[in-house]
Amino acid sequence: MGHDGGRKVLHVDMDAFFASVELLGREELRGRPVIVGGDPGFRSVVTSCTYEARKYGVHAGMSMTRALSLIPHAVVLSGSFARYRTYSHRVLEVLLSFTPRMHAVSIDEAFLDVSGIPGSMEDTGQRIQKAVLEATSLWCTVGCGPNRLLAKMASNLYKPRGVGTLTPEMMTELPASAIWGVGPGTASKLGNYGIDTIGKLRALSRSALRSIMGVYGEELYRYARGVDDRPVPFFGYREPPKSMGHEHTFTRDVEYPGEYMPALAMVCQRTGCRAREGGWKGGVVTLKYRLRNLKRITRRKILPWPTDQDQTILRAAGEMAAAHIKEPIRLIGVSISHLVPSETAQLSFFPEGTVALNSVADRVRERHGERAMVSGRALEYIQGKG
Amino acid sequence: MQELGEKIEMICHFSGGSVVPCRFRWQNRVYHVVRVSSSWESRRGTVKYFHYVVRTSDDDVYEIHFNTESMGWVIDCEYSHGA
Repeated sequence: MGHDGGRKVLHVDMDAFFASVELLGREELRGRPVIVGGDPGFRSVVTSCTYEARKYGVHAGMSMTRALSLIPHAVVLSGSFARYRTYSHRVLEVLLSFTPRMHAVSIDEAFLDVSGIPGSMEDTGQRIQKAVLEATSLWCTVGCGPNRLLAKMASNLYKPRGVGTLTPEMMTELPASAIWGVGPGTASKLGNYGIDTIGKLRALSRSALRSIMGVYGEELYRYARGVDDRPVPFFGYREPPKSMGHEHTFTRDVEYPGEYMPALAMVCQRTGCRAREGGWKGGVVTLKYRLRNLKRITRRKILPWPTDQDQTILRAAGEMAAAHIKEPIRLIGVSISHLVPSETAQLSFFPEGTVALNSVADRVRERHGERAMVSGRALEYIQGKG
Repeated sequence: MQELGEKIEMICHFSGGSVVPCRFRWQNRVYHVVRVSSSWESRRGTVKYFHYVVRTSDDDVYEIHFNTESMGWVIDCEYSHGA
């Protein structure tokens, strides 16, 4: 089972990272339910919370209003991304001191291939845990396995402050939802067929899984058996993202273009900036919006050629918004997908006229901040007119 | 938490490539830093800031920052028990 060639892979996952960083130096808050998030009056969500808060059912992504209804006595902190970024860099420096085959997949998790390090995976994992703690005063959990899938699943199992291994043989009794990538929707779909454990999932043939889950069934067939050939690349390698985008939640529901276009312009500017910064162009623009009843709707438009230009993204998103938004909404967002590296994107006979403008704008914003140079529409957003 | 936002005078030492606050004067009183619990950097436009959470010998906890443009220190807030 598996084709891992005897690899040793670790998944390092910081425990309640944002909340833990906020608690540094705040000994009086230890042991209390602490939530990091925005003002509930602005429809914000929980960014992170301590394990004491998780005991009440609070988790990242939950609305602050709901979180505070579960724990009225919780301590709420607003948080500082600059603080988390600084600590994330410190953690990455520690991890890089162990191996250059380190891939940070988010601000608080990374995979390491430690196949070249003598000793067991768990020994190395414990040394890493200790080194991170000494450098940052923050705890992490280290999952160990013969590949990325099992290492990631292991860290979920052994959280918090754990170091442990998961092998294919140990997976059988675990719930199907423990497989990395199986979310509530997939778990529910499998549950409809009586498949609640990985053991039962393994009992299905490849064709049976494909008939239930479609193309994803092929991947699920391999993952249920602990098979994952994805390598851990060297530090600095960038995996192409599936998509990138931004959203805005309104403080009050809005319905008309004059009300939502400023915010849409701003999220398109942010998306374009991020695409250019990352060196990507997207061939599909997706508009997303959420109705008053919280129903989420998306609309897609395929572009004639990939773009990283705010104005092109806004034109596509604006047309879809005008055509489809006919009732009050509480959130609007845009994303681009089908990303290709900018330098390999197909050249057009009609190059976008905004390339030079956006290039200058990017340099101005890098020096003076995001709001230093904005379009007229986005200016209305900044001035609070939309 | 009590928001402050006042200028302070700082004595610090440079060690291991970083700035370590040692003691500061605020409202005519000297506070001795016994521990730097947290430190991070931020930027607003071209200006870089160095932030610290420090515990003083009185067992009080403050957040302070150094502004690299004005080259001045500010005491941002005091963390009281509870929040």
